Amino acid sequence: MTRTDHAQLAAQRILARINEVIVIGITLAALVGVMVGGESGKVVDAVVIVVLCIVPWLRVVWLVARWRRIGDMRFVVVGVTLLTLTVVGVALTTLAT
Amino acid sequence: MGDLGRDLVLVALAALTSGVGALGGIGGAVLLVPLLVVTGTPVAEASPLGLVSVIAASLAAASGHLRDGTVNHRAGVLSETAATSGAIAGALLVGIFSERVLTWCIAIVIVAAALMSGRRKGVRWHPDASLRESDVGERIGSIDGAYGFNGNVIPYRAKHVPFGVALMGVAGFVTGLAGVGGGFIKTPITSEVMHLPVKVAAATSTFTIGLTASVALAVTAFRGSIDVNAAALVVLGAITGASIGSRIQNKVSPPVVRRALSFILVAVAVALVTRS
Repeated sequence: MTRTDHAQLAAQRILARINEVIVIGITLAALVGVMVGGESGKVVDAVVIVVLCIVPWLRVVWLVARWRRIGDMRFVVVGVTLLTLTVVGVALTTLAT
Repeated sequence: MGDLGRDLVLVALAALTSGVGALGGIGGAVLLVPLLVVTGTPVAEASPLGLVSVIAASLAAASGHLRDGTVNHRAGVLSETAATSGAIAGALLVGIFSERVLTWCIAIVIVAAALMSGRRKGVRWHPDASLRESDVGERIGSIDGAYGFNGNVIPYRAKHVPFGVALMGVAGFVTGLAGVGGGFIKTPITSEVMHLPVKVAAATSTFTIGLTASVALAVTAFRGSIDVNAAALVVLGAITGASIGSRIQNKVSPPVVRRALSFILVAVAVALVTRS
């Protein structure tokens, strides 16, 4: 029998706040990159790309850490497997090219 | 068309496709890339912009989904693990089937998924008056849960999970072979095979397609084939469109989302076949 993760919604609302700040930051940076233009603008835009590549995975790391804290080891294993597969996949694809 | 005109078209297309994508949890790249190609952008430049739009839209929609408890992270991580395994195998075996054959196979699967979603009447899961807002969330150790809609709490229980996960693996394999994202297949599998509510399936798919796209974008960035200025414009459009699309998705009833998803899926199938 499984039980409801009652604290999840409260934890997710904090994550939602953090996500909002990140989205506003990305929007402002993209806007600055477009307005400034030239090489400086390109540097700002490149930073936006790097942030876009990293942020979705920070959420998975946060989830795995949270599941570990509440003892949901089955999904800790699933989450760690996903993170490992992704690193292996990126390494294989990069090596192949 | 001048530079400003081109920039405005790029922002508008990103906003439109991300809004539609957020509504059905399928991402907007599969619509944005063909539209960019039609408006004169080379495929090699359009594809990374599609990935950028998917990630930006996924992040923009996330706050609402997290706050409402519609996203099921356990289902998302489980299905993404299967899809990633399949995608790696597919990417390593690229070339064993012709792109045309793969595209037609995917298009047929999409149309079948659209018919399954569109033909089903009513809703599978109903509000439970005994549940409170604190019951919204996932079940520990499973992908069951409950979500809130219009002040009610609606519990759900996943079915055919091993079959659904296996299908995600197959979907990952085929999309890895074809070099396309799989958001348009993930939502129907989660909703119609695993029986999660369509709003939960769409929110969960929006989360996972951001993961898939970020990996693909990182690999593309290593090769240095991204127009960062155009990407910034796409970010602005995608964030605007997805914010609106996810708000609409939160407000409308599950059957409306399902029907909208069916229409979008048919459009995606047409876009894929046209692109091939």
